[in-house]
Amino acid sequence: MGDIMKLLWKALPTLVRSIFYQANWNIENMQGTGFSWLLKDLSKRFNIGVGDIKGNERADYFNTNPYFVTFMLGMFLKEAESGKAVDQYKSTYASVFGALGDTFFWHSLRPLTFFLSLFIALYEPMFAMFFYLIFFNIFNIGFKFLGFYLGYNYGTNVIELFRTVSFANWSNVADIASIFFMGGTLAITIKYISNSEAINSISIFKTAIFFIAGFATSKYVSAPFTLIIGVMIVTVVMLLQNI
Amino acid sequence: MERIIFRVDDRFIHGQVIEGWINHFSIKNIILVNDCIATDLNKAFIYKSTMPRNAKLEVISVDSFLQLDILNEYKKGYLLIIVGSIHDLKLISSNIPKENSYINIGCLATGTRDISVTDNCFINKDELDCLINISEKNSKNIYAHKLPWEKPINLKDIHDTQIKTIKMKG
Repeated sequence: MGDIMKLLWKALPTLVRSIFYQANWNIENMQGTGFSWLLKDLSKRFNIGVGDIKGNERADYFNTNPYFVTFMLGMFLKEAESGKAVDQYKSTYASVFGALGDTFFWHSLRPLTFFLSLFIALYEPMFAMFFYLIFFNIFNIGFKFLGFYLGYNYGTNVIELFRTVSFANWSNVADIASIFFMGGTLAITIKYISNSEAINSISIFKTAIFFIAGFATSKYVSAPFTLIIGVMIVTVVMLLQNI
Repeated sequence: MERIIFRVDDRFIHGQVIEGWINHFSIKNIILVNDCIATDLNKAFIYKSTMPRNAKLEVISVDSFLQLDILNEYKKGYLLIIVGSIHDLKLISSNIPKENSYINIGCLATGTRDISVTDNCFINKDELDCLINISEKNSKNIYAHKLPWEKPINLKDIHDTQIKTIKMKG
């Protein structure tokens, strides 16, 4: 445990930087400049010569899921320390982490967070707002820190770990949970409507439209904006019940 | 969408391919055609690890693909065939079925390419000519779009625009 903390503490500034590494995203090399910036910083902190980490000298084309970039940093560090050429796996792992990350974070976790927050918002709207940020960022920050350690620990064999934990299926579990909370929220809302007015096709249709809009929004817009829209939708739904 | 989808993508398998194509069409059979990856078991294993449940990825060389009888071996459901470059597409073009097939250009990084098709698809003049050649030989249009629900860009339109520009400059 001490070694993990020591490693993460030493890499902390680079890991914090990884939050901003997409700031220079461009169509020329996508995240290449940002990744090169992270590698340079990492090589400085771990006293590895810049030349020891291939791909560091120039900002090559690079694009992956931003939540998985620290896995690659850890992997690069491990392989650079053991003198192996990791750069031949750079594009492979970038694509693969892009696939795994997009499926889990964008397709599944974001809607799940939205529905969980929506469910909570029915009772505690203010807490739901904070819950959204906390829940999503547990995964965000967790993957950033733990990812660096796992990348360093497993090196280019890190994909074995993803197979062991069946990571490709996590999104299915998240999807099932999303549907469960969507159903739960819908049921509670309809119950709420029935207490304030007679259930009719218009009220159910009205509620369904809001939920579809919320679901679609959570899939296509960025996380903080989703939070605002989500809370607004719930507020509007609740206000409409009182009209 | 036609049943057999050919996609040119220099990142091979990534988020857009998994979410946009494989999950969207519930594609169960995916073939990655690339000589380098077919001989590197580690890389092939890494790509296979990303596959969703029920989807099977085969990594084969260009020669192996040319010997494949696609229509008979994959009779049902969608089939996605991924190549990493327009050059590879040209190599396998003789095995593109005339019917039930669709050719899609996905991500191609800039590098020395100077024709921007989409925000992450760039080609050069030779590649464009090569695509038009494949298109004419197979009597089918080639479309560039990242995801199936995006508006497809017909490469022939890009080619015609290029010719017009050259004529105007001339």
